[in-house]
Amino acid sequence: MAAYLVRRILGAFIVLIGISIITFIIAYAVPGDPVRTVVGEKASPEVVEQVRHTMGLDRPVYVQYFSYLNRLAHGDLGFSYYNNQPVTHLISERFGATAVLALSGWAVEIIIGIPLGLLTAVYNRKITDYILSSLAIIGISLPTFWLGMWFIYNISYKMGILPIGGSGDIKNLILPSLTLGIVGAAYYQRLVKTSMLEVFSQDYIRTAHANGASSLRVTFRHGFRNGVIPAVTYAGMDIAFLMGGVVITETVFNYPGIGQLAMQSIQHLDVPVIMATVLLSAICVVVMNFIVDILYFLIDPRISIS
Amino acid sequence: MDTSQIQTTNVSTVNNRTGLKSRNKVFKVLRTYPMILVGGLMVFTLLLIAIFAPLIATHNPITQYPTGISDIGAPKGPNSEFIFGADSIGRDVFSRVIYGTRVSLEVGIFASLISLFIGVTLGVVSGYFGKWVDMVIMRITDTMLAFPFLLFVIALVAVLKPSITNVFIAIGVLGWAMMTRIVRGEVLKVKELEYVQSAKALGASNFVIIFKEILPNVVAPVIVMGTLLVGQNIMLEAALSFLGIGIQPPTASWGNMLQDGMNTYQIAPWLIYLPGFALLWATLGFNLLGDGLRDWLDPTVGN
Amino acid sequence: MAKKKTTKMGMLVLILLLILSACSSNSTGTDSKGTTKGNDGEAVKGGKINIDMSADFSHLDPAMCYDFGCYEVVTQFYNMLVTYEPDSTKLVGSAAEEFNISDDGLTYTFKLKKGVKFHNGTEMTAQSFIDEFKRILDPEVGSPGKGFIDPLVIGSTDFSEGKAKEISGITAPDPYTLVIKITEPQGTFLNVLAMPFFPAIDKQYVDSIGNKEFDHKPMGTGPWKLKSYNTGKDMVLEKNADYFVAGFPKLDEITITFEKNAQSSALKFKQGDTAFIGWNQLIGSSDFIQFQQDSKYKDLLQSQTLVSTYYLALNNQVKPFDNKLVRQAVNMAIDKEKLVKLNNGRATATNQILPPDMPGYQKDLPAEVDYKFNKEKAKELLKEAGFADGFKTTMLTTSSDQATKEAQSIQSDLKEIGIDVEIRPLSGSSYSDGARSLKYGMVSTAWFQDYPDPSNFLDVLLNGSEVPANNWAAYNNPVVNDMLKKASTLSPGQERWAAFSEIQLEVLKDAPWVPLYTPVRYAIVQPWLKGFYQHPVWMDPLQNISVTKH
Repeated sequence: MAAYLVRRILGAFIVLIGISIITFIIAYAVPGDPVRTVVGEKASPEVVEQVRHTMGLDRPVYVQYFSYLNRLAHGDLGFSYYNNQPVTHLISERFGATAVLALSGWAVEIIIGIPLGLLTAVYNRKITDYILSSLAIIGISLPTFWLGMWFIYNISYKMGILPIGGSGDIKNLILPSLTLGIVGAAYYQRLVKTSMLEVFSQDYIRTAHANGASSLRVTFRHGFRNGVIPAVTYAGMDIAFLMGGVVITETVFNYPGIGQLAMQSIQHLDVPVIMATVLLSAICVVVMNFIVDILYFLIDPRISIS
Repeated sequence: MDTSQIQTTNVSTVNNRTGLKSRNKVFKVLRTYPMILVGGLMVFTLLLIAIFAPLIATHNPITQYPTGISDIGAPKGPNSEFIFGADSIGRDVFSRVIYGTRVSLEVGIFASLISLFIGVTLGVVSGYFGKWVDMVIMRITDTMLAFPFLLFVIALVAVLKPSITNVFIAIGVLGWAMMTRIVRGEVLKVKELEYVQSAKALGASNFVIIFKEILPNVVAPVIVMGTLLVGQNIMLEAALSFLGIGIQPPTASWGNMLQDGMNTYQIAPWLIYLPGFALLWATLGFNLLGDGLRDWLDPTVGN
Repeated sequence: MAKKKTTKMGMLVLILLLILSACSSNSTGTDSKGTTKGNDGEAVKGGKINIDMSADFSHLDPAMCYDFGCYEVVTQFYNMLVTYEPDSTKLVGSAAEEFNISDDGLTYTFKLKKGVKFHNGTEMTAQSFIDEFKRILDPEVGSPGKGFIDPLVIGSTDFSEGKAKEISGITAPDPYTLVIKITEPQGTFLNVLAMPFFPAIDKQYVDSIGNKEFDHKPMGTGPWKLKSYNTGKDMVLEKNADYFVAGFPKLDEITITFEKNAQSSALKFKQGDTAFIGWNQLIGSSDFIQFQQDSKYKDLLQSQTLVSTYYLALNNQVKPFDNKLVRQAVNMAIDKEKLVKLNNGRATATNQILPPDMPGYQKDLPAEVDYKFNKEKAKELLKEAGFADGFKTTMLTTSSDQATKEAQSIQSDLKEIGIDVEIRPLSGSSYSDGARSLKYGMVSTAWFQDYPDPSNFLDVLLNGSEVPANNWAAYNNPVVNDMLKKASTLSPGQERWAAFSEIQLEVLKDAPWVPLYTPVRYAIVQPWLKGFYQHPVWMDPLQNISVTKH
């Protein structure tokens, strides 16, 4: 246990360092000269050099990286180019909203995906399976933004049941989380189906069948736990998918989260904020993965060491 | 009893694999895996449309026709001149969707090839050489996988400035991690096989072993992954263009057509029907083909 | 007069407006026909409304706010000395009870209202205004309003350069009297003082939280107080119960939601959730068509021709636009009527700089500077300039849907005479910074009057001294600069207008811009809303609105 934990923590730590290096490279190396971004094209060479010095950009790259790391460690993500607010402040204002959306998107995936997976496994290679599996694959192939707009127009406006975008109420959450979750549901369907089929082929289920138990009862009695656990583990990986998906969902539904912030910052070419959203989402993914792994290890130490 | 059952499934997989070689079994494959047939046909249509776009399109996709918009600036609906209507500045929707196919496939395929190249190279190197090489590469891979892909690509494209080249470079350069992981897994399996070991014992160079023994064995999962990747990347390009940081006007892309349509669809729903349908068709086609190929070639990649 | 308005970044004003796109302000009645119709119900006391805003506010510090987005609320939190009457461009006292201009036009004396309180209870005095003037001049603050008073106000330059501790030209003989002395008569100075740069502020409050915080936590004497503000999400305004104008504001609370998507805003309006769409959000193209074609909404629309010009600034200092023939060719190559169509008719094509409602506008331009749409002629000119095969260039625009639509139309027009245009859409300050960098061949932009005087267009946008602050065409013609200098001392009247007409002709000969169109702004207002009007200079009259029973 201890050895596993240490190895896992070390792994996560290395990935975090990797993330900081990559975001550092994209934020500071790719956009050309950050000094010019700050002082403008017309500034005199002396001013440029002075600002370069105050920004610490005349020091060797590794020194700059470590000072970047040092600032990160102190929770300092710099200031927005656009409205001069501390990036930490902008992000913390929105983090909660995105967490709620991602979580409810995940709930939608689970609620749709797992029963679909069970059904397609039980009716494997029957007409029900074909129909549901086709629906699932169409779900995967649906463009999120198309779906979101369709929801807004038909359900929010035409039917007037739910609010048009915005946030603050549980009602505001329904359509965005559906939009976010429907696409991902199919992955769970697939996962559950595969693992259920494996379970079905095992001894005790066959025995249960032989004893005349009905299909559905067997499924729930014996299959469910073994089939669903791998699907829940997938949640760790899924976080990365959800954190990316919120960009479109939040933009379409005017939902004030990290994804919308990222899009707004991109339109302002606000590099510190863009990179902070990327960094933060990546950290979230690592942390969530870590937690899921540990939980999974606690539940079932045999399987997870891999 | 149960073990025998499992073995039979394995054997049948092997049979299918050898079936690839004999042509008369193609039919059987297509019958057993209808997804390959359906997906393949869908993808094939797209390829034809892309290649013969100039012949199929009825209009120049970037010309703004005065007849395309009404006096109050509303786009004209489907009529004899514009069979699927015109867009909000008077361009022919049908011709734009046709030419948009080119852009989608171009980005989808080129970006996937970049990812494939990086992914396979790193995966093979990592799996074959093992030890610290493996460790370094796998840590980098883990890091790449930790980034929410869409957000990551958006950030890079935004920083690089949006253009068709930058879109597929960004998608390609960032999207190799999954491929690396899968290829590495396959290589690890193949590496231990008897004939590889014996080739090594006979003193074959690493280079020869990799190209002669290892690579042919990872082709199947790579094809499967590559196909699925094309579908994914087509969707990604559309999403970027929809958000305004992908393909820039006047070049037609399904994503930027949908963006245009999103602001006008209440009075001009035809603006989102055809490009949305095309996008669904393309992603569905590649997903079906990829899934079908996976079922056929390698049932174990499923997860 | 060596004008040095380098920091005067008037153009920021456009950014939001470009986002809002085809926009307009009023020159006639308080209650345009739209509102009077539905006002059958009795006005209810108090009440709350929701409105949308197309983007979050760039600034809330009056010293920093210089675009129509933040004007919407900054003018609600603060009071200037003078303000415009609800239905005209006539200036009346706001925080000032009365004001007096000396006969030589050099001394302005304001008697302030007594007992006016800031939202925190502090009393407003003449010092409250002096403190804001000092902030505007303080290089640390970096206000775009600096150029309006420096060097015009006596002692302003010395103060801003740190040579003096006080602005010698601004004094307070007693707590309720403010005297401002300027170096030479200026017909528009009172208009300048009405700009939101110059309200009363509570220095102690600003110092206690610092300039950066002050930009997000406004506190003034105005009709509305800030109740809550979530960046990028929403803002709630709360009635200032102690507001010094009795009976205002009429509502208790206004919730402003930031909604980038104009179509969603229109849907919310149709659902009855949103009280009006005015300056705060554009009525999107398809929504406008729908509103116009639907008898239920048609009568709720109000329109106003704006005192504004949308134009293409050509970079006069960079090849190939340094060639007059090329600029003239581009002028003739663009189909402006098509742009009007793309605005659903909410615009009038124009070939000159001054908008029709601005004094100095010339009804009939002389033929040699009236560049009419003529592709053939354009091609000829281009050939004559040595660009028979055309050339490649870039065009900066805002990233709104309407702006990109129009940019594509221009792109396709220019393509026909062989010019390849790469469109570069940017938003917010990256757009204005981009324009000021002068690295683009063309900038698609617009200018809306700060005050009703032609100098606000010609002097601000085309004087060589304004490169690159506001003069995004990098146009610098010594003859024109000289004419502008002479004209600026003339007092408002026929002579002044004639002088500016002449300057406009001189500028048009060089064709530094392509003037595109004069916008007409439409607002849509719920029938249960009372007191809404479109003002020629100001934004939506939030303090004047009330609701009827509905």
